[in-house]
Amino acid sequence: MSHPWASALAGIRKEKWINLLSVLSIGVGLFVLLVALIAVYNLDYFASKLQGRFSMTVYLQDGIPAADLAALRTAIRSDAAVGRVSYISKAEALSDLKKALKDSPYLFEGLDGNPLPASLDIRLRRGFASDDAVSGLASRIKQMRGVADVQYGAGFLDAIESVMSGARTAGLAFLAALLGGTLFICYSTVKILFYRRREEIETLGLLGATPRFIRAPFLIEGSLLGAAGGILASLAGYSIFGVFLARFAGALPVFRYVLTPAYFFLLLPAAGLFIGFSGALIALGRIKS
Amino acid sequence: MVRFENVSKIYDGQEALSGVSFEAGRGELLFITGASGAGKSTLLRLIYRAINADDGAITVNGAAIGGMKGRHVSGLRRQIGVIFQDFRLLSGKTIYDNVALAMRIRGVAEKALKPQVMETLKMVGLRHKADNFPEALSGGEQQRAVIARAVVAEPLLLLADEPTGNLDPETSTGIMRIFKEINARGATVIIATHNRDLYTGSGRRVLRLASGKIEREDIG
Ligand SMILES: Nc1ncnc2c1ncn2[C@@H]1O[C@H](COP(=O)(O)OP(=O)(O)OP(=O)(O)O)[C@@H](O)[C@H]1O
Ligand SMILES: [Mg+2]
Repeated sequence: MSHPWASALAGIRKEKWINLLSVLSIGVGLFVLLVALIAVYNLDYFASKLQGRFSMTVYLQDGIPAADLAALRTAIRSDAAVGRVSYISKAEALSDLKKALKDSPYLFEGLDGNPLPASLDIRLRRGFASDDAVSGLASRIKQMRGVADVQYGAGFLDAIESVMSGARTAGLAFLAALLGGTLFICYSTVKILFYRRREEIETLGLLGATPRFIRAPFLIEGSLLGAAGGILASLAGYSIFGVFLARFAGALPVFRYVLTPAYFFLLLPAAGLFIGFSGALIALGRIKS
Repeated sequence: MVRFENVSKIYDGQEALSGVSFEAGRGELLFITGASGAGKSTLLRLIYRAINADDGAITVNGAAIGGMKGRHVSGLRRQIGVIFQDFRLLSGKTIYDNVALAMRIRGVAEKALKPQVMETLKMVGLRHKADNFPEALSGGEQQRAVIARAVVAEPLLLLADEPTGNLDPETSTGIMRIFKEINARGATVIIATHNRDLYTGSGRRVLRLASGKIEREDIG
């Protein structure tokens, strides 16, 4: 084994307990970060999903010519805010209604013909779903040929948007605070380690070691401690989110909807390594001779 | 090899060395003596640039070390072997690694350094302690480990600060023999000591410091 690695491992072994504590602090910090990350991620996903559910219904005039219908669909689809457009014929509208009211078939007794209009169901693209965009689109469509009426849940989008953007801002602020906290824990942990060994660093300098020679083992040590903390946080996160929540999803279905992207768990050891390395770098500072 | 011209060093307003001038020639072995607090360690620390002179000029191996910075200071220190009065062994490393460190710092490959480290440990009588950590060694054994670390890389200049402070007379004589051997191979050796036995009858120059000044020079 080369000298810097051997020296780093010896350093870790020599101060096992304090090093274990450092690994635990970094692990706890990263774990809390993971939880916050998952919370913000889910919140964001939930918000965009709600927006995706939003739809606008365009009621068509009875007996609209096929050519007009085609022209109308093309015109609507060309709008940047529009995602999917689906056509619901009069017959489909009626059978949908019958299906919805299948417990009360008497409602349809004596019904002559089909009073329901054909319609177009419009889904909006994510990111375009604000009330301003929607009302602009609605008034444009209303003026098109063959359109009887346009209906949508006015106010719905702005309401979820304002709730969600508030929650997202709070979540991001929380995340930033946690990130700062975690970095500080890691930094101070590593700084304390180096402070305890300043005499060793000084001696190495007096023996003629270059700053590079002195730094290498400490950087390896910091990186290893950070990575170990990351792995610990990742394992804890995986067992809680991957195993524990999955088991409880049966009892509490809410948990079934908690999304935990696998890369979050892979990210943690890398983040730990990065934090350990930069913490060590900062803690070492400039080595004076 | 080492040249002091009117060198002064002040600690917190107190002059530890004042107007010291002397020269140690290449390949010379010389002693510095004087009462405790006279300034012996200060003089040695100035040579390996642990501290900076407040006045005067110091030349080591032809280079003025006053304005030296960064890698030049590291380079200077790699030409010098220092036996520190306070040992400065690394507690997290074995005796073998403490001694090998001096070679590693000088870029010697792992394979090449092992025989030389073991040879040096044998010379100071510590071969059987190679795998022990410093705290498991007696004061005298620690001192010999420091001596091994200082000489293992065969430096041009050896600075020994009270190298026999913890040693019995017989071991001291053994250590003195090592210094003479290294000196005979061409190294310049400067030994700071109160131990009269080391220099009496040596026939070498002895500089006597008193309150930071060279009081007189004798032949031991
Ligand atoms: N870092 C320091 N800060 C302040 N004063 C110091 C420092 N180092 C040494 N001194 C003072 O400088 C003077 C010379 O100290 P030095 O260590 O050179 O003496 P010495 O001759 O080596 O003594 P000893 O034989 O006890 O080792 C002493 O009065 C000491 O108190
Ligand atoms: Mg001294």
